[in-house]
Amino acid sequence: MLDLIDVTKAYRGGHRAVDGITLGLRPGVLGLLGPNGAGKSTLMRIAATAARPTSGRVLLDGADALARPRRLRRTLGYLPQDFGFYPELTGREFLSYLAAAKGVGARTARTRIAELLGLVGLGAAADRRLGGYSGGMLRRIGIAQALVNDPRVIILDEPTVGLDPEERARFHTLLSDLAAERAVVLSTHIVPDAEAVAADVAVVAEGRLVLQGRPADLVAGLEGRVWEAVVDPAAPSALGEWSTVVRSVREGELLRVRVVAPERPLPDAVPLRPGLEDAYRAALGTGPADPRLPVGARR
Amino acid sequence: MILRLAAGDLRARVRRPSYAATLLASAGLAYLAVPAADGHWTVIDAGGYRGVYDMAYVGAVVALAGALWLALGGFYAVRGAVARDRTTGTGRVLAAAPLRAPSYLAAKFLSSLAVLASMVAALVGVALVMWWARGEDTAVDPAGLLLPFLVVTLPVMAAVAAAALLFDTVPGLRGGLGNLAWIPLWGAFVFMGNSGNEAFAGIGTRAFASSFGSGAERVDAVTGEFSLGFTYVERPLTPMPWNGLDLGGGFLADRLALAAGAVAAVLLCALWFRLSATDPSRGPRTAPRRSGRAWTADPAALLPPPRTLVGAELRILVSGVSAWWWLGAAGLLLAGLAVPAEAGRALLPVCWIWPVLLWAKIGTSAIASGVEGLMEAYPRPVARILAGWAAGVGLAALTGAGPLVRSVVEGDLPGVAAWCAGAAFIPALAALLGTTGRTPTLFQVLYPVLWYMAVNGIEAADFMGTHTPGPTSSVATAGAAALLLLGTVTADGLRRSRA
Repeated sequence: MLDLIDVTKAYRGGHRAVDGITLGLRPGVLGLLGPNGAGKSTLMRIAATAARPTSGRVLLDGADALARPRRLRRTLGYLPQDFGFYPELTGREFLSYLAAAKGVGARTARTRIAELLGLVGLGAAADRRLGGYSGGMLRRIGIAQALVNDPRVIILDEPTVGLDPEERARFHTLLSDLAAERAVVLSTHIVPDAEAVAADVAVVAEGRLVLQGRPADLVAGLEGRVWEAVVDPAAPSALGEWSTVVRSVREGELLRVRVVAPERPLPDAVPLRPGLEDAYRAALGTGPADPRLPVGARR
Repeated sequence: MILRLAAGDLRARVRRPSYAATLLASAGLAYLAVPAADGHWTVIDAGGYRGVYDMAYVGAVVALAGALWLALGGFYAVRGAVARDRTTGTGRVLAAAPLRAPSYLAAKFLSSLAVLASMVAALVGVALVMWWARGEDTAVDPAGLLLPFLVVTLPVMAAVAAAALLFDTVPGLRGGLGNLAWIPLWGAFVFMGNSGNEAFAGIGTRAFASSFGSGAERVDAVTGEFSLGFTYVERPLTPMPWNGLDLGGGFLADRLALAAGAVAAVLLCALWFRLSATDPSRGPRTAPRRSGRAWTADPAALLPPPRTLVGAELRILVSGVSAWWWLGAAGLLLAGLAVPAEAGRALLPVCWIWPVLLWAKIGTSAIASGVEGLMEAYPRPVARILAGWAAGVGLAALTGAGPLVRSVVEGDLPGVAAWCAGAAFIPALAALLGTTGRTPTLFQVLYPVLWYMAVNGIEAADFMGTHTPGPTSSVATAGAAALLLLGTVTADGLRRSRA
């Protein structure tokens, strides 16, 4: 469906926001994880044709989407990380405007907008002005606009920011339904979001793709390498140079830590069942690259 | 604290790309103020004469040109400082800081003054270069060069910095209306100073012009009317002795009063300004309204839902417009229908200045609201530009339909053609200025100037055909509209390709 091949985006001064990333988007949800500033949003903008890469190719069904972006744009739903709105328009009017901008016919748009407003839980607020919406409601309007043209490719950049737990759960269900026939990219730094819906996960750090695979495979690759230990905060080096601390909780004078390490880091460390968060944090580990983590997944 | 705040604000301002453009414009102004001996375009024309290009005269002529034009344009360069704190979210932090409104305002004033002073410094630098380049008098007189900037330009800049702050803090003047109001206000300031009123020296024209009188007596020259602006003269200006600025008659006291008035105006702002106004989470956020009563604040809410992109763009242009605007538009429409075609032609300029703030939204509303972030990946960018333009034509028709209908009824075909060309031209100009400048201010400033020139019968600017309705001028206006649209599409495409 949509392929990004060896995509690089370099800015003046030589900073590479995206550095040679190759990704193939197929029906299903791809969770794109990475810390702030990793290059996720730039990659999303390139995939959405909102930004041009310095080098590399973007192909939709094998055709060059950079040279002719119109075809991709007609079938694309894109929610950027930050977006604005017209406060004087109602939710329905705003979506109607955006549907017109996407070339959706008036009659189709009317039906589709009514459906979408219900799907994102804004049916009752549809005729209220956006200026009176809360942050979460505006985010849901953003999600609705991404879907207004019934897209085949959906790119969502931090879509769950500002949503409460109930809204997030509803959003996960919506994404799962959409992903049956559509390629969905969910860019986030909230691992549970990706864990909840993503069939595949890719981790980006410093502009590079550092990890990709199915969540179950990535987690399985960490079997026997996630530990819990109690350490003295004054001596963190006791964990060893190959350890990545995933979580730490202060308990009196000591720290209870969850670490990823190829071997038992301390004599009294106990093994834990690994999770996606462990794989993600291990991939971002600040120490030297550990060739033993996780098997077959590191790029 | 004030100086550190001002320094921080100044750093932020001078690092914007637009600052370099304003410095360049200042340098260009200084160049234009000292035309070559055989030049026909001049900023100051002392009735067919000019001073010999010695340091004092070059300094004075550039300082006066700066006081006139830099003050007009500099206002737009420095205004919006308070609004910027609000839109960037910096105000949210400032509102919670132990900072008092007078300190905040003083810092903004000093920062604006420093920006304007840096432009004056550019004027001084180029004036020096121009004195050397023209080479009419080689005597070095740095005091003579600098004095006019100190007593003419800088006090005026202080007044401009204070006015910008005043406009930023007074409700109603913060937005486009303030941009529009500044032009006639500044014109009145200049005019009052030049009108012979002894109590007010304005920008200081008389201190400069009166010296020409004694110089003319010495060479028995008969001078015509003194003119300040930017005009074409049939014959290059003749050099004659100029005695330097006339600092007598209370001129220096007047300059001090102007600067003191600027400071007083800043202090006055502190009476009504509250730092919480810079916090975007407070203030005029549109409250939720029941849809049935929304029209009381926004009559556009009564319009039927748009079915096309053009309709949607038009809806956005008119959204949030007060009922008074609609009443005015309806009045103009009815008046246009009621009067004969000839009178309708005279009414058309009024019809086509009324929506100026709405036209200024073309190409900029998506940027200002942040909707552009959503639109970046949308298909049909050219269609959106054309839809925005067509919505602007719709606005022209909304307010100017009366004169058009009368022209059609009376078979005034040149009038109809001129109307159509003008209606196409205005939104095309707005689209180009909005797309390239990415701010409504450019159109808010340039269109009224063009409109003023058209109303005053300057043929080259008669885009409404009010003075010369004919096939040639209509075709020229329509052609200009097409070029402007082409320029808009090209500029937008270039910007996208660089994203």
